[in-house]
Amino acid sequence: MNLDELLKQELGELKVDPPSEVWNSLSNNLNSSTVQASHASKQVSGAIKGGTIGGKIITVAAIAVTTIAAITGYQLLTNAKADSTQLVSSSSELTQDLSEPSEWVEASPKVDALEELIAPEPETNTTKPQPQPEQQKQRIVETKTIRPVEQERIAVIDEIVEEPQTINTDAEPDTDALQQTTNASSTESSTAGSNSTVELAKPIGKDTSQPAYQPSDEPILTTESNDSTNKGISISNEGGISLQNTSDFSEINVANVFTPFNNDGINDFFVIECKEELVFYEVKILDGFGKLVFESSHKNNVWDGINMYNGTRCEEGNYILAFRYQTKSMQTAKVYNGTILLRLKD
Amino acid sequence: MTKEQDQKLIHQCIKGDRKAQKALYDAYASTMFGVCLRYSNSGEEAKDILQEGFIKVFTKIDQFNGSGAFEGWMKRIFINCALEYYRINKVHMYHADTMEAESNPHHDFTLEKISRKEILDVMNKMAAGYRTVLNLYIIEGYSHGEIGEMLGISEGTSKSQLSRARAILQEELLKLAK
Repeated sequence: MNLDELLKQELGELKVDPPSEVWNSLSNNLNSSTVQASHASKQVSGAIKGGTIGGKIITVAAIAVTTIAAITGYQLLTNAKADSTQLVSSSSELTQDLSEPSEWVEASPKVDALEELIAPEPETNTTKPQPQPEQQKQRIVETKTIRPVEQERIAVIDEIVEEPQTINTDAEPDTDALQQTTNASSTESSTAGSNSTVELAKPIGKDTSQPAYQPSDEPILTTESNDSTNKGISISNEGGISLQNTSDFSEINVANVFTPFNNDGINDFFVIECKEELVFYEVKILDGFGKLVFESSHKNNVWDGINMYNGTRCEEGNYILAFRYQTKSMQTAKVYNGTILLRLKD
Repeated sequence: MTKEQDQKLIHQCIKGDRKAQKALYDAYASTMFGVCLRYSNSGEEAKDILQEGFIKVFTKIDQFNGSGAFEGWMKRIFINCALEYYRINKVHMYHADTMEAESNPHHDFTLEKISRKEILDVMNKMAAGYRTVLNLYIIEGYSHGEIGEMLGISEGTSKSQLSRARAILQEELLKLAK
């Protein structure tokens, strides 16, 4: 038996009972988070009942969708195929299904139909403002305090609440007005009248209908003015490349001097400390000539002063840092640009 | 656990049913603790990782899409937790050194009596970077390309890390066998 086989055999199926205190502290942890969750779902159902449009069917649909969304998850949102005829037929199917509450769970085989319903428009344009009707505005305010996990579900509810209204036009008297706003949003007419709505619609557009990080095609060195990508207004980077940091980088701590080769075991690596959990991390380091000497998309991999492309030690001097990151609580990625001083002696 | 049992439990866990969560914990805790132990420096740290992992499992369980085994899905969460844990604590440092370590002699370990506990101890004492690559490559069966992606290192670095890690492990195990 060689080393690999030994390791695999002995540790591959390793089973060890953890001490009982693990479950105890785990269940304490879960208790505190469940309180938040149930609080949030109360708010959601309250908000749904509060809306006057739609009535029973929508409430039923929304609740059922919460269940289904939980199962089918996030993917539904990304699959966008809007075939209007299918949309109408599948929606009537859905309405029939949901008229009997006992069939909620059985509604899950209808996932295909739902998929069409939930994501009717491809999100090609992230800067699109989404005017919302009055009732939904209130809901936005109410749901703001809900935890991120819940927000995903709410996003689904929001979408679905809108759908039946646009389709069953003869069923509801106020749908005409509603449809107009919906149309307005799809034709991207952000006219003067909808200004206040746009303001309110912004956070929910960002929070819910998009994945946490949207990779952009922009090269990392151009400063994206933070948050600009997702808002209704597009800002062009007229200044071109700039190394000035304009926003607050309190989440990170960059030690910008390090001594990788003096064998003292201190400051041997260039490390970016992050105080919050990261969902995105990308670091690039360039030398004085603008040549890339190091890049990493993982916090594990810290720079040790070696040029990772030719394996040689980098010389003493200043290096350019381009660091893009996003923590859990941030809505878009931030770019931190700076310099690093590599020193040979202390 | 059969797939049906799993699905039932998962469904209840999505609803936040505490009994179902406990049942799921009881069913998988020992396997997952085994995973945590072989990725960690000590039993204490393994306990931390285990707890964090289960919190992630319960909060993300609605994202399990049903394809593939639930156990495999859970395992990946715990592995990611372990990687995350050592990133936060900055324990391991990768040397982006592309030199290939000397090739290992293929020692036959069949004759030596080395206990599982001893192997685990050696693993726990290793630098986290080496241990991680050993785990990911030999036990989990990821390719160097995949490991490079997970750890943000190059494929070549993963290879040289592995061969050095193997050499260290072998040396330590041979010391034990004497």
